Amino acid sequence: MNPLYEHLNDELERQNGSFWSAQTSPNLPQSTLSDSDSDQEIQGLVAIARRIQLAPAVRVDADFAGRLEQRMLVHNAVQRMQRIQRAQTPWWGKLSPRSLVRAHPVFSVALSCCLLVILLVVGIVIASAQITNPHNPLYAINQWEQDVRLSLSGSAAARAELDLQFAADRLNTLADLANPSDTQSYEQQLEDLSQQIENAVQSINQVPAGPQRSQLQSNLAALETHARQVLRGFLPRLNLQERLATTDALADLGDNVPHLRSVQLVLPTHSSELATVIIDGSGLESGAQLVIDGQVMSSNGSLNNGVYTFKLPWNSNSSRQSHTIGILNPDGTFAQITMFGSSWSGGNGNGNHRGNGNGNGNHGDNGNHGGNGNGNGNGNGGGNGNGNGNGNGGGNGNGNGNGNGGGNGNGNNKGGNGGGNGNNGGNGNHGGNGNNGGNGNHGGNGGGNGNNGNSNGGGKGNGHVLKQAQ
Amino acid sequence: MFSWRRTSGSSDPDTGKRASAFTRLLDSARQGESEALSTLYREFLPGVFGYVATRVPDRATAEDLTSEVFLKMVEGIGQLRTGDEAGFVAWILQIARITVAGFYRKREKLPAHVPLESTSGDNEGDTENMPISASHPDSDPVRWTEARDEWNTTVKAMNKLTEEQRQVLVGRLLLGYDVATVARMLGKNENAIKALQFRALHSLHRFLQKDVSPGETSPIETQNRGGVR
Repeated sequence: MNPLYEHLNDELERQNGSFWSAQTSPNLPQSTLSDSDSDQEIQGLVAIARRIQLAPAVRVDADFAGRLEQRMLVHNAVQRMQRIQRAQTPWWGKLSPRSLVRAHPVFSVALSCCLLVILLVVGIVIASAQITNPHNPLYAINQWEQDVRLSLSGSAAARAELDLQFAADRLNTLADLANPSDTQSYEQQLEDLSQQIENAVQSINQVPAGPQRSQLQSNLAALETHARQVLRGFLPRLNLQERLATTDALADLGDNVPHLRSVQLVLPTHSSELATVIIDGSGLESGAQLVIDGQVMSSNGSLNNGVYTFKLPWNSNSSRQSHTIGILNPDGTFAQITMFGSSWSGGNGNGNHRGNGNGNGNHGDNGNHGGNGNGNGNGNGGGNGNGNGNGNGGGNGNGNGNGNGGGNGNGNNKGGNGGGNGNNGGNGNHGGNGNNGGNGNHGGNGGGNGNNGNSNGGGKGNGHVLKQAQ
Repeated sequence: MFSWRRTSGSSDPDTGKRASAFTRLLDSARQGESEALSTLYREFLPGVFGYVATRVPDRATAEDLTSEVFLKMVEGIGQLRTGDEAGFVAWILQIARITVAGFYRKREKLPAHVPLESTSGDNEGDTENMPISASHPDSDPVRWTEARDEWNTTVKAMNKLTEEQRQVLVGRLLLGYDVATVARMLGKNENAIKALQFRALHSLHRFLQKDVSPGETSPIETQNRGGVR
């Protein structure tokens, strides 16, 4: 320990002892300090201490002291009264925001922040509960809130009830979306409804058999009936796409709706003829309208034994690779089926060389003429269109194979290359009428060699081609 | 002047009794008993006022801030956890420190105040702003001015000390506590208190010497002439 510290402290103790024993007397006993440098320093420090002790500025004025004491006691009385009031206040009253704010200013700031956050959260949750548009960002909060409620549900029965309630909510919100301008949202909500009903079914299945389960099943059945009525009520104001989705939803709900099994489209040979559309399915109603590629056709069809047949003009120049064929029932339900194919024009085949001409050429004698081969080219080929790879058709036409080609043989061994471009890739009766069997020196090898029935030309048959899609 | 007598010291054989008496006093004050509060008030008013007075330049401010401290004491004593005297002193000096700090903080935010009238020689009637009471025996206005200037110098020097140094000086000089009590008050050992005490007075000595221009009589010399020895 520094001796100066001790020295100073001793001197202050001595001075203080005298000071407190005779506070008002400035005449203190003489110091024991010598005149050494350290003692001089201590002496100076003691003088400062004494100066502070004796300074009039640190002395309390008696009037002030009395006034302040009175004021303090009054303040204390007020405080006591407030304490008594608080003691009589119930605990929830003590936790009131007012008491917290009174306790410390920081509480007021914290309380304000808490209130703000609570208001914000509550506002968002309330706002999200009103959101029906699945594309709204708050819709996710709505879903989240429902998920939380489901996860907090204690039993399968409670969960089933919540599922039924949420399904009913979905159904109610559909009414706002059932218009042609909001197809995407409507379809999303419809999908959610189906999912929610499916969830309800699963939840009910987990409920033990008994009256509670029966009640839930009854509620589910009532909801489904109500949903069918509501969805059917929407149909008249929906576009075809929405009707399709609604019909699917009705099917999920066990309603009787159209269902297409297969469609056959028979194209005409000539543009002046009518194409035939044969639709096989269930739930088809008399008076239904044919819909092709989203367009409602005006032609009427006939319904026989669950098969609908329509006849209508067909544009053979269409370049579409696929078509949708649908049925719109008079009650507004709608079903459709899609047909795929690379070529729908039917029979513009480039001849796939299947003509097996069996021409029997008659040999001319003079050799000058290659003989008019009368070969009967039984061309079986032709007409396998490139289009629509699913085409099964092929060249069974009885086309008139007027082969124009062929027979340009040079009189050599080949009587002619005619195979004839039979317009019908079908069984040309003439594998090619070589007009000139060839001017060859060998008349014998007339153009009518049936071997040439393998016409290169194939034949652009415009014959009937039948396509079928399932 | 308010008369105040301070006894202290761990060497007192009645320390234990005094401590338990103080604890009872504090308990009563916590219950809001007026008598106990008055006792505490009378006991610690000089120390609190002295602490505040050494921090602010004029008496009126010191009285205002002291009032504030004791009103806060009344409001907060119910939540005070300590039961001994040193803890109570530390608590009330902390209130005083915060109150003074608040005063200086508010004053910094206020725009500069320029008096309309000259202050030199016009302070005869302004006893509130004088560091020395009008009732002081030395009623010579020249001495008042000198005393005020001297005290302002002392206040400036006190404000340059650290808070611990100030509290040591208040405990030792104004409250009259011994080193052991001040050590408990500040949560330090006695040697640390002695060192703080030395450094505090030494710093004051240095600051005061610095503030006295050559040829003037330093407050210390004046005090020495007053006859410490």
